[in-house]
Amino acid sequence: MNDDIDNNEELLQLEEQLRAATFAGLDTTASGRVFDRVRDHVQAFPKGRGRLGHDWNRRLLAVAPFVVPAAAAAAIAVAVISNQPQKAILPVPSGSPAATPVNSPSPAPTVEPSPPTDVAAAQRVALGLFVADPSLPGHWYPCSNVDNWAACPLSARVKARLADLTSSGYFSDVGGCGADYISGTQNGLFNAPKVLSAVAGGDGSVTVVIQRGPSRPGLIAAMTKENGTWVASDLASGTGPAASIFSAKPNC
Amino acid sequence: MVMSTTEKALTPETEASFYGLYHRESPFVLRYLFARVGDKTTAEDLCSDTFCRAWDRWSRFGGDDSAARSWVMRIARNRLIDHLRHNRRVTFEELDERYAATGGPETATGRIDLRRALAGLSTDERDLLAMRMAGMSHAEIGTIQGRSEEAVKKSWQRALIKARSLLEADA
Repeated sequence: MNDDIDNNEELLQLEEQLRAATFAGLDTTASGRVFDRVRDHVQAFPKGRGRLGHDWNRRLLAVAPFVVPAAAAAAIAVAVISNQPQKAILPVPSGSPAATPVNSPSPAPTVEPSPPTDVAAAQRVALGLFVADPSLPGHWYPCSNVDNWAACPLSARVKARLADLTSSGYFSDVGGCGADYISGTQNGLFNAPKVLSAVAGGDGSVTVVIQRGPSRPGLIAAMTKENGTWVASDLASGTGPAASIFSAKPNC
Repeated sequence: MVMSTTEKALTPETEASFYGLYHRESPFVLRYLFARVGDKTTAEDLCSDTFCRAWDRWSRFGGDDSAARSWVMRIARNRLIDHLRHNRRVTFEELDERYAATGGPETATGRIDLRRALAGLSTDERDLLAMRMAGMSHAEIGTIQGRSEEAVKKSWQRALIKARSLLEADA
């Protein structure tokens, strides 16, 4: 018996065969209904559910005198990490009436119809953050490297932030990140970037989460329209206070 | 331990970080659950249950990304145990039936008979192999199970040797 467990090729091979047999022919990506159910739960229990199953805090409903659709929940998140003004994070869903937040049930909220958000277009543009490598099929790289993000669907503010971080060496090994920010790796992606979710926010923005591979957190792009064109006005990676690219030391 | 004694202030950023957790960890959780129950619909139900429970506790979670994986996998494992207790059925066998219907996967060493390879293992051994199949390292499994990485490696080795013996006995 080989005592070197890490290098026991025979066992590793058997394990790989078991893995292949278990998942053969199956898409092991969670379907949309899983995310929908989780998002609905987050929406229904904004502060989580207590041991007895009751809702502790209807925070969002206390702020806005209308029912917040589940679809707005994800959009709230990135809007905040992007340092947008507080009013921008009110989860007013697209196509629903805008309302002035009040603490009492009257007077009736002012109703102003808002145009529908083109989520598909925002999603399509967000995927433009990655470019297929024409010389290597099945390989994608970030849209950036050679032109300082000029051709990327990014706001001027995000481009400036990327430039700042680059000039300070943040994406180098010395800077601690050691990876391209958009792809999360220096080697590009070997799986097609895939949109995991795209959720319209009440302010016309769309939060798009793009899968970058099994070992990297999704890239979260807050897509907004500038002069009629979709651009990412914020990018985020991972979780916590350092998720946004605008945080002091953003996650890689 | 990764639970903080005080709750984080609940801000929209809390939700952002939770959705980040979901997108990062749900593939691992789903693969693990699928490897245990053998049915994608059931695995997805358990997966969504897992993340709903995780959200209920998210404001008290104080760990980093690495700790978050172990934490959410522990929730998944507990949810799975509840499910199995209620259903009294461990369904690696269903996997084998499905592959039998399609001719089964062929490998360099011949067809893997999942039923014989895995049904003869203990529940703990199946659980360990399922976590490995989901893509977890020995160290991560050790964190979930409260054991050392070395202890997990030895258990993993024993489980695979046992599975191989079962396969060879069948050959």
